[in-house]
Amino acid sequence: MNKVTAITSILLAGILTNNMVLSKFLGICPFLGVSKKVKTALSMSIAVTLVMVIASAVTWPIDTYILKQDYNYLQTVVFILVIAAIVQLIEIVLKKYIPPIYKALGIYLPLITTNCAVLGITLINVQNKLDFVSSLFNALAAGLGFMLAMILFAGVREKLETADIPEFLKGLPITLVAAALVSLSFLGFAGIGG
Amino acid sequence: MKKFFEENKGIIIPTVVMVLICVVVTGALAVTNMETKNPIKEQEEKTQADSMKEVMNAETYEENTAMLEGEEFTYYIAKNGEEIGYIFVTAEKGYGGDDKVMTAVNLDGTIKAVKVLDVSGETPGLGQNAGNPEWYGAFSGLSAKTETKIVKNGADKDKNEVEAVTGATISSTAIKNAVNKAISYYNYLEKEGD
Amino acid sequence: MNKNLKTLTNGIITENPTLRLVLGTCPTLAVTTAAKNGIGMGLAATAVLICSNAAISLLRKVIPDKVRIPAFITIIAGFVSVVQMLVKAFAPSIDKSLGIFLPLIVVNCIILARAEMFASKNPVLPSILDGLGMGVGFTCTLTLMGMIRELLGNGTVFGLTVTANHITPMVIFLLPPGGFFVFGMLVAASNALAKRNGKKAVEHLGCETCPMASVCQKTNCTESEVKA
Repeated sequence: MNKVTAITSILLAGILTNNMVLSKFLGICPFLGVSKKVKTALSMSIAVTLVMVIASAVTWPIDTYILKQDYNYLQTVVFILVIAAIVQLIEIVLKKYIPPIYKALGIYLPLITTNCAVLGITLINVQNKLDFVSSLFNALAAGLGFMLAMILFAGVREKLETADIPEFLKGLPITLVAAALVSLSFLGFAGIGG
Repeated sequence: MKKFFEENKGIIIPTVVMVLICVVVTGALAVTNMETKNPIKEQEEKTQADSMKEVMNAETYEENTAMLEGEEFTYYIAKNGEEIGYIFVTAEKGYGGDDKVMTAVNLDGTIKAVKVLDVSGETPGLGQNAGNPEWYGAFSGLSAKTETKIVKNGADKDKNEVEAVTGATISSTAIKNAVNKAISYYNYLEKEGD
Repeated sequence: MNKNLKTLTNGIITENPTLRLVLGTCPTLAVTTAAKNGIGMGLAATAVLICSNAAISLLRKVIPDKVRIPAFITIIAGFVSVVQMLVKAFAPSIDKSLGIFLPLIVVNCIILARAEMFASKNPVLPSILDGLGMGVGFTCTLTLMGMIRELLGNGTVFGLTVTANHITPMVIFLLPPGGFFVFGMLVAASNALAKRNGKKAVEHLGCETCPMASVCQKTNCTESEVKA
């Protein structure tokens, strides 16, 4: 497989067939928690995508050149600390140099440290032994997939606000049922891109 | 010195505490790793040995390596005094990760048995059914002279065909590809041996 | 002693982490395709929860407030890695079926939430009991959900055939939509029970239970209803 096809298939898989939220169940908390409005959903997913790509870019060399096979029992600890540090750094840099973006995304950043999608994608990258470029694209695809799921779901939820919902389903249950239906539609992509 | 400490107390104490915590955690992990390294290795070896006994019962298994198209692969010669066949462990990309398969080939060029070792990356209820012995048993008795094929229904043993797992063509194909990889190794060894 | 008992039972029923506090939803949905996986995940998380609660409670006066969260995460990650190695060594089949969700216990909100809200403010014994209670509550919910999904989706419970021979299993329950749906129904049931006992239903994921609430309240969490 040449490089372009390989990357296209990574993107297709990450966004549609192996969608982070809807088929791998990573990042469910923000998916359910921050999806009430399309606008906040979009900001949150941009922040997540940003952190995912940067975190993959940093953890990949650490794993390949420092941890290697001998110290991979330190993987989990090292990765989560690196992610926590990156999130802090991004926050500081944005605050200082690009205040408008900080204003839009800033509040989501601290939450991303404990977002399992970020730690998840860095671990998946090294476990599947992807090379550096593929890792970056895999992270990007996962982020875009997260974004797609968030925006679609936020759209559905905005409609739910005015819907007449049976008493016992009100609140979280109906949100989960709606999520089930959204993820059902993603099952249709199964098989695309191998 | 004392003055410096007083002025920067807010930075020094947290740093020292964090460093200490990291050192202790790393130490604890190193000890656990030392303690569990051997059991994990034994466990893996035992699983491997049990699987080999299952696919091709023999007194001894001799580990060998060979090169095919620039890639090194490991194979095992099963011996009951004299050679009775080869065992290969191959992996191919499935729906959500690598699927691992063990293939035993008789000296006469038929597949003795196939055992699916790992399909944990596949969808539970669909692709993971490829891990059922009732399914992969269909590979037993096929020819290792030519590649095996997956068909949707009406598999013909004489044509080296196996019926796909219902609703999981991608996973079935991944297993087939892994078996075919083993077949290519076998044919290479046969040719070299002559 | 009575108080301790209350701490223990709190996590199992009144403040069940998955159904009442709605924490740790990722593993709840992901690993519950079989009852066995639910138990495995639950026990692994319980072990980490008890140990991290104990350690954090012991260190609660030593850890400076500034580096509180990173310190907690490091300690939790340490215990998770230990559990991961032990599971690999002594229960390899569980390791295989939990896959990436084993290391991801680190970011399971339940654990950080209990560290932040309970262990960092209470002595060791209650913290351990809180960890145990929350862990058992988590394990029970996961096992129950695993049983339901396995029964409907595969016709088996704990791998034993129950209805598979009589009714064609509905595979959809093992797939992601089934996960969301069964969880939704369980929350609805728990809401109904809570209401009967005069308690409030879980309306949406609130800020009160979010482990990062203290960090994000500075930037008005309530307005955007943020939760990690």
